[in-house]
Amino acid sequence: MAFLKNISNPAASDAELLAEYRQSGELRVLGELYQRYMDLSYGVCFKYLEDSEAAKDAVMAVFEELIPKLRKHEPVHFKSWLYTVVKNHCLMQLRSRGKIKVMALDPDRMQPEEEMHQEDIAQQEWQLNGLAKCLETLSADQKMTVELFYLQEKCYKEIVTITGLDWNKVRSLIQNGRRNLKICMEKSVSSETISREKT
Amino acid sequence: MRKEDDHNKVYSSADILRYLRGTLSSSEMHRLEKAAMQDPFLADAITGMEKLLRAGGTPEVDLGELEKRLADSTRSKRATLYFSWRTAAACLLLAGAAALTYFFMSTPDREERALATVERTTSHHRGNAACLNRTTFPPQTQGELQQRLPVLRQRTPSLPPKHPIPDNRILR
Repeated sequence: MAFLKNISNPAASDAELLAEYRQSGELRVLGELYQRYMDLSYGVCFKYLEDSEAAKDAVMAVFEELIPKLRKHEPVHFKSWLYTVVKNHCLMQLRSRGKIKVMALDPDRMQPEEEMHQEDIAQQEWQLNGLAKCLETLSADQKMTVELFYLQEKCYKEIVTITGLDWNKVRSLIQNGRRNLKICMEKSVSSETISREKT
Repeated sequence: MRKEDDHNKVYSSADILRYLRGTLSSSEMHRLEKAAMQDPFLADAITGMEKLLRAGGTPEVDLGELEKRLADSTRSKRATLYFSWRTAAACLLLAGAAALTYFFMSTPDREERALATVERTTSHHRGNAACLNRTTFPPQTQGELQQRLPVLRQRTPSLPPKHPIPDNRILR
């Protein structure tokens, strides 16, 4: 029946595979888990190292790093934790080449995905309650692109066609607009809370 | 794209490359862009893949090589682990067998062997007093042997006292 153990289980969640690896120490299980994010890791490594051989070596070095690390640590959300490990590794590589000065982030102190998810839910509530008000506070370009992206669900390419703006400009306007909306909505929520407490 | 759970879809390199090459539908592109806004891992990976394509790289080839390297890495390490377990088991077995062999082979009474040595020495060097004088035993051992000689001879009929040993020769 040993051959059954070699059949991968694509339905298993990250947490299940992680628990299995921590219990058994089988590299096959860790390999299966890592493979899910290996292409993203490669993309991240290439972004920082800008060399395909160095990026490939970094991806494999991170895997080697995970073997002992995951026997000791149990990240709450593997994907977010791995992103920090990969990014730190690449930044350290750059530092060792003398290109930049960096300070490693502790993956265990990173914001767990569950909290990010809570943020998403809160954002959705804000979208329903105060989006219209805050949209008015944005610049004309930001408002237009944000509306097209979030309300009309257009992709960057379509927004480029509609507005005639540059692709990078569209992305930047949406990202900045999103951040400004978030700030505006946080302010409105906090002021609402204060007024509720007064009454 | 693999769906991990309701809130967190995992995008593959194939999705990213299709996006970058413009072969995704508008709604798929929008979903990926929205996901990238909430997921810095995905956003960084898209940026990296975009850089790689612009540099004329071959992401599919690179990722194929990485998959092979990962498979080799997990296989060789497992094999090493398996081998080490086998080696350890074999060593234990051999050590156990050696210990048992030593125990059974060497247990025959030490006293019998001592007696046999004494017998051989005395018969071989009979008449050669100078040589016999050099056969030295610690005084305590000699005394003990002398006291236990009758008992030992009864227990070892294979070594009959053909040539009784004069007490003064042994005890010298």
